[in-house]
Amino acid sequence: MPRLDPPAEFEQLVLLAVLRLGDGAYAVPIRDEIQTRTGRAPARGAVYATLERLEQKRYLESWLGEPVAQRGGRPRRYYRLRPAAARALEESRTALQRMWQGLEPPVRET
Amino acid sequence: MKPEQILRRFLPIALSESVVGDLEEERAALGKGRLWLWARSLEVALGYAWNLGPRPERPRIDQPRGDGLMETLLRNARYGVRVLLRAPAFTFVAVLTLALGIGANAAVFSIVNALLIRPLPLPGSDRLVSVLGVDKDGQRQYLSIPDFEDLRAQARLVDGSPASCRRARTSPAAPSLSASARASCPTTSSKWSGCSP
Repeated sequence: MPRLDPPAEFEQLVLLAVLRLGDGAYAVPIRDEIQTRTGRAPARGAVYATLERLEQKRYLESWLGEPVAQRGGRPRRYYRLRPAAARALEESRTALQRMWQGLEPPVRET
Repeated sequence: MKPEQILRRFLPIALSESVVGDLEEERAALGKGRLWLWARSLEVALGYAWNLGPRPERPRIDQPRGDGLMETLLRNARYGVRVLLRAPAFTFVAVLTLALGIGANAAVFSIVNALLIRPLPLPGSDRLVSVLGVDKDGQRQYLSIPDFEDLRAQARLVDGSPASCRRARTSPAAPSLSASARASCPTTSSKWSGCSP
């Protein structure tokens, strides 16, 4: 299996938000989740672009839900992690933990 | 332009539909108006374009590149026709402008072509010279027929000497030359072109 590009920082945030939201992960709550947990309000366009890119990288898969009257009869596009995403997230976390070993915040310039 | 049209222009069609739904859902939850929806659509479109969206996979060498036999060209042509039909007044003005422009250009080119570009309908027209005489006042004048006959008989560098004849002017300034030319114009000989009695 070809090795995928490791997810960048914002991509990891999106993947983790999808993981947290479970079956209800679509763009609106994904953005809210990132905003709530990080205090950063990502641009909507950046969220959509990142979701598309992660799907292209085969980290995510998506499907359309049922039409919702509240949305003018338009369906939601739900997202779910693929196994490669879970592996990539674990690898990133492990790498970060190893790099942090022996260091404690706050970080001072050396 | 409607918010849906903005998004469809920048986002993949499969994605734009659900994005419009997301924005409608947020608008309803926040109690915002159509202006909010329009502004957010523009924001999403620009944000998406700024982040470039998904990058297309590189085509493999063994895969054919591009579309089929001019599919894109034909699709664009069909789209162009539809756009023109949707705006008949604009189409009429555009076609009229083109027709006038092309017509004027063709007319000017016809004149320039006839006068400057197209060679004369004579063999060796690039070697054609015009021989005129000079009267006692230094004014250029047409030759009289006897002068022309002399020139033709004596010239060594001239290869054939057709002549054209003009009706004599009856200007009082040059009465003798005019009289001479008029008198010299034959009325029946076929070797003079353009002469008429």
